[in-house]
Amino acid sequence: MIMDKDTVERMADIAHMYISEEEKNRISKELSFLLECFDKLNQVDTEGVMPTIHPITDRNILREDVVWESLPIEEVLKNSPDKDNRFFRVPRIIEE
Amino acid sequence: MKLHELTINKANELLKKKEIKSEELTSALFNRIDSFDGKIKAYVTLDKDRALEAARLADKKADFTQPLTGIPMAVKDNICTKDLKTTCCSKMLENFVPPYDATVISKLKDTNAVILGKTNMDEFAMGSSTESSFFQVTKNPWNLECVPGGSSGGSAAAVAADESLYALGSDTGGSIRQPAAYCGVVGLKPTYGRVSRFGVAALASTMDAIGPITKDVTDCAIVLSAIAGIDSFDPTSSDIPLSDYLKCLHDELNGIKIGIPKEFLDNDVIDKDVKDAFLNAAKIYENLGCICEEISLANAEYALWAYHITVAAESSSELGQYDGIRYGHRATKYEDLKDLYKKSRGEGFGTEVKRRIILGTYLSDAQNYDKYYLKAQKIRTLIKKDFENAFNKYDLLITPTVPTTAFKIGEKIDDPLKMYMNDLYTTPVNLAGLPAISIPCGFSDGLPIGLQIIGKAFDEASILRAAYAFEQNTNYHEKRIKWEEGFSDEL
Repeated sequence: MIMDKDTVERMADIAHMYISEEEKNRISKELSFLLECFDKLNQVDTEGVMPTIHPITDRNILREDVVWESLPIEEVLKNSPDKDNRFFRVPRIIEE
Repeated sequence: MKLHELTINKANELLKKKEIKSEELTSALFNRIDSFDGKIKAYVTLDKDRALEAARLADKKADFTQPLTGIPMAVKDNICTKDLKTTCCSKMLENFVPPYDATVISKLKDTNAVILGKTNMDEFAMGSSTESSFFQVTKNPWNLECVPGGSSGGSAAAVAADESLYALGSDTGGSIRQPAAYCGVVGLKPTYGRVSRFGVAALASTMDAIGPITKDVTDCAIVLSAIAGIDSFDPTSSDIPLSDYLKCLHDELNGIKIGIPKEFLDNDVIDKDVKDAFLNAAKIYENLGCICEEISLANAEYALWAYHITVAAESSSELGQYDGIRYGHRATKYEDLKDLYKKSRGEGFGTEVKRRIILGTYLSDAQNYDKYYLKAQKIRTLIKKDFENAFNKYDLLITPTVPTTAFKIGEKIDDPLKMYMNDLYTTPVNLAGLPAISIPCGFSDGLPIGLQIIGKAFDEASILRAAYAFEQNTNYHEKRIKWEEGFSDEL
């Protein structure tokens, strides 16, 4: 299986991430090789085998919905690169 | 014995007897770091003022009944520490200062532990050599030309170089055990769910485990006792009761049945010296009255690829949270929201991280999901069954931790396949969620070799007991590093 440069670029776009031409070449080469390794798994007969969704737990973990104190807003906003008062600032998202 | 060489257990004894003070011990560690870490580069952030303050507080309270009180330690940089930078060694989080502590950190702080600083790692824990860190390359203290392993390479190197009494690491496919093996220290990956993951930057949520890296097995039991247990902030943490990990060290080993997976020895990637050291370790167990027999883990050879599919798919999803909005790197110039995302992520992530995100995105695509991710999860079921069958007959399994000793810096970073082979013996354990330890079991050309002991889910006690018995009958863990000329061990 080959992962060509166009596919690498398409995946990078889906993942919202620019990559350089050099990265594209390198990643395409390395992942094509890796996908070939993954093909080895086709040798395994998994007919009728249930997938492992979780390594240990096989039940849902539920808890009471309890109110507790959350972090102060200024603490939460502390790491934001752009904030205004009580809000995260982002570029305009609604087109005119 | 010098203060920085102390184990937790020994230091605790001296603190209790008032023969040393935590402040004195902590200062000795910072002196050690000052003179050694310029070469080792285990730490990315030091927290001297607060560490000394915590030490003085421990001295003032003078209650050392909890063994970690006043003991200096180091934390891998993907574990959140309140008001102390936590970067995952990525440009993306270069300036991130967590507003809260991870549960493991709260637990340690409750015992008045002394946090020296944060340790280097592969960027977002993606790697086996600590070379993909955005900041620096950590050196193996046994040979400065070699890698310390990874991704918890800084933690393992800090402990091996006596720059910390112990450290915390995280293990998704071997990231505690492999660096512990390469650096000649003890590293435990607990059962999935034994230790809370709350506040630890996720790599793969169905496999991540937090655990101790220590100088010996007793210390490992001490740290596990302090960090293990259910946590309401981590719904995957388990309510299965903890054992008395210190008491179990002294339990009888005679008659224990140990399985040796033959697939891990009969292959062309294992070094002869590693194989010899491993076979010698098996002999030591036989001499201790254990029954060692060859077994088969038929699907183990597929584990490595099933692991890489799982980790890529899960991590690409986890890393979606780094968008440059709420925290992390944000590009300075952008046209619109999408451009902001793309530039922030493009600039913030290193190539290895991008490679895995692209792979994970591809594997999670509707067209590929069944072929790769679902297939990998079915194989995971088969691997779990292999282990279950083995544990129906055997109490423990032993394998080498890694097929080789530490490799040279730069040697494998451009050859992903060779890098993957490093994880051959450790990844099946994460897929099955089992606990496993790496302990020193020999040397090859001056580099340490690790022995991996795998146990049943939540049976860390049996692993620790077997590891302790091995340690009592060997002296690999006591062997000291011979520092090169002009790099004196004296303070």
